[in-house]
Amino acid sequence: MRLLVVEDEQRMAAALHRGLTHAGFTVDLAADGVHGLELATTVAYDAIVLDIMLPGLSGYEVTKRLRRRGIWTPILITSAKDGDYDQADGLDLGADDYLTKPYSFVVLLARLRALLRRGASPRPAVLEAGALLLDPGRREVTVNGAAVELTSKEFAMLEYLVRHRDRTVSKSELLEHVWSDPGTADNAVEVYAGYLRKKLGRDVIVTVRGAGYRLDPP
Amino acid sequence: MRGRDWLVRRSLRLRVALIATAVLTVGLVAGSLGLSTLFVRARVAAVDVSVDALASTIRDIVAGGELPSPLPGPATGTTLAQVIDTAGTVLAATPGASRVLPLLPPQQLTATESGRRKFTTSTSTIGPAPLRVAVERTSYRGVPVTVVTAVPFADVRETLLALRRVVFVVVPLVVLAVALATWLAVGSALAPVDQLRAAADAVGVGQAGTAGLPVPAGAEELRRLGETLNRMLRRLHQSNERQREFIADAAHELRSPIASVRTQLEVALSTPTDAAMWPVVAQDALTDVERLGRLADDLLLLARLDSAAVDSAAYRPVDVAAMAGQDGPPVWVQGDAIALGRLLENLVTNARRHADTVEVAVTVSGQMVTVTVDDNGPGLSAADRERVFERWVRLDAARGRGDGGSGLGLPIARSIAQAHGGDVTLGPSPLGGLRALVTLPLLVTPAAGALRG
Repeated sequence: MRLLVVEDEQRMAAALHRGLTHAGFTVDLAADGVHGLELATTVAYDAIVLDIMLPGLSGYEVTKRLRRRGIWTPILITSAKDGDYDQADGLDLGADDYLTKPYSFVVLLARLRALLRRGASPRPAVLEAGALLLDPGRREVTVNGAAVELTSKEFAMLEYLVRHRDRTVSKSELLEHVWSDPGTADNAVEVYAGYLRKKLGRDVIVTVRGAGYRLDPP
Repeated sequence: MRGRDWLVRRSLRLRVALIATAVLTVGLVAGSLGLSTLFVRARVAAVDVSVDALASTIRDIVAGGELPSPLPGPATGTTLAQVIDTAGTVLAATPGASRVLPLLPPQQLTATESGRRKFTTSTSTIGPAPLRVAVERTSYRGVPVTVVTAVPFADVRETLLALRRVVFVVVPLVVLAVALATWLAVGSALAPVDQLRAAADAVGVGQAGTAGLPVPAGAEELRRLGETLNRMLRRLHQSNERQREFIADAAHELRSPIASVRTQLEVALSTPTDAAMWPVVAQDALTDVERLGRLADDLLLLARLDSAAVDSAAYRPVDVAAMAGQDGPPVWVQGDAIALGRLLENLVTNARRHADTVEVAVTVSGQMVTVTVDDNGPGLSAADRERVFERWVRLDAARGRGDGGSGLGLPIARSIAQAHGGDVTLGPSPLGGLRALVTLPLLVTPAAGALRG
């Protein structure tokens, strides 16, 4: 397993290199964001350990650019910043895990193993379906760049349809995944499908007779 | 005095109500008394006019040697007159008066020697009703006689009593009404103060200025008070925020070397490390611990400078020229030698980090000492020259943190200079790089020269 460690503190980086190598990884080091991005783009790593406060390019920026380029290598952000929003921002930009410094080396190894189990399948932070963009982190939906205001139920239903846009989703499945109250009437799904059509366009949600709904991206 | 102390300790509302009520009570009582006195005087004067008029008429007639019977006067009216001789016999009377019984008992009749005497009496022979009486001695054909003229005075008394009754009922009622009205009015005028107080009570320590206090809409004074308090809260809030950010940054800066040491030691312990390797591990860890120590020192120093805990009473004359390693005459500044040394060291260290040539010069211009630290490094843009004085700002991002400073060096230098009544500014250097310019007030005392030995 090949790892990239982007860390600007020399001694920290050297220690990580030694420890991770001993744990059986092949480790490359980058001391700044620009070099890290370059390596991550050109070499197929199995995971990246990324500091946030980096010279040149911040860890956030490296994450954003990698994901934008369609590179889905699992990213573990490590930072001395421990604010709630520091962590949330890192994860919403497309990172897979966040570890606050100082951390235990044992925990770092365990988190890396967990990340490697998940693999590098596409996990976009912003879902895309044709001209429709859905950002679960910011709870924003745009169609052709124009923002669409959705209620939280509408958003939840649309998100489920977007995540399963390759197939038809049944009414009972939507009820199960979007509505928490088991007593919700069947026609709630129809009502909300109507709302979404009104806001996104008639043809975006296709009714498949007897089966359910399917997203037809604009 | 005890009563006054008691009053001062009461609520403003009670004080205003009590004082207003007391002033009003005194005013009303004094006014009623004055009014009734004036009223009585005016009535007496009016009665006296009619008594005098009749007395004069009858005296003139009697003195003229005539004694008509009855005497001229109202038949049934209120004004009575008698002419009485020295034996107490009624010689003549007005139609309404007795022709037999003198109006006054003998001792009152004889009290007057001559001239006219007016008095009020209730011991007349016609009953207990008060009379206003004029008694005058004159003579009828050589015989001394007394002319007595009387006007009943009862209506004045009754009016006066009625007036007193009104005063006794109305004054307490008015006082009560005013006390109540004052109590209510002051209460409603002060209600916004209580709201302000309650809102201020509800402000937590950390949340000063987030919501603000309700600004009273009405009274100008209270509105201004509310606005002032809100401005104060906002300033506190901003200061809180700055403090919070500084602490968050400080925590972050302290965590980095701790994280580095921890990982180094954990890795060294968990991987086979031969004996030759341990000194390297220890040396690396020590480097980080030293960095941690410097950071802690910087934070402590900055906290002391912030809280103005620097004791200017402990300032001593310091030779800045010698401190800067400059030959020549001493240049004295009143200050803390350790802090000023730190100021210079920070500037020189900062310059050395970016340049290979660093020059320090101390000059005196007027009342100020100027210390310049020049370097031939890359310099800074005009915008960055002020930004580097903000805490934790590191501009040499491309160089990494290993050889960079804590981000506190320049803020500390400026804080020290300002604590000494001076400042630090940055500008372009004749060497091509950056010039740090320190200004400090010059100390010119003869004693300073003597201190050199």
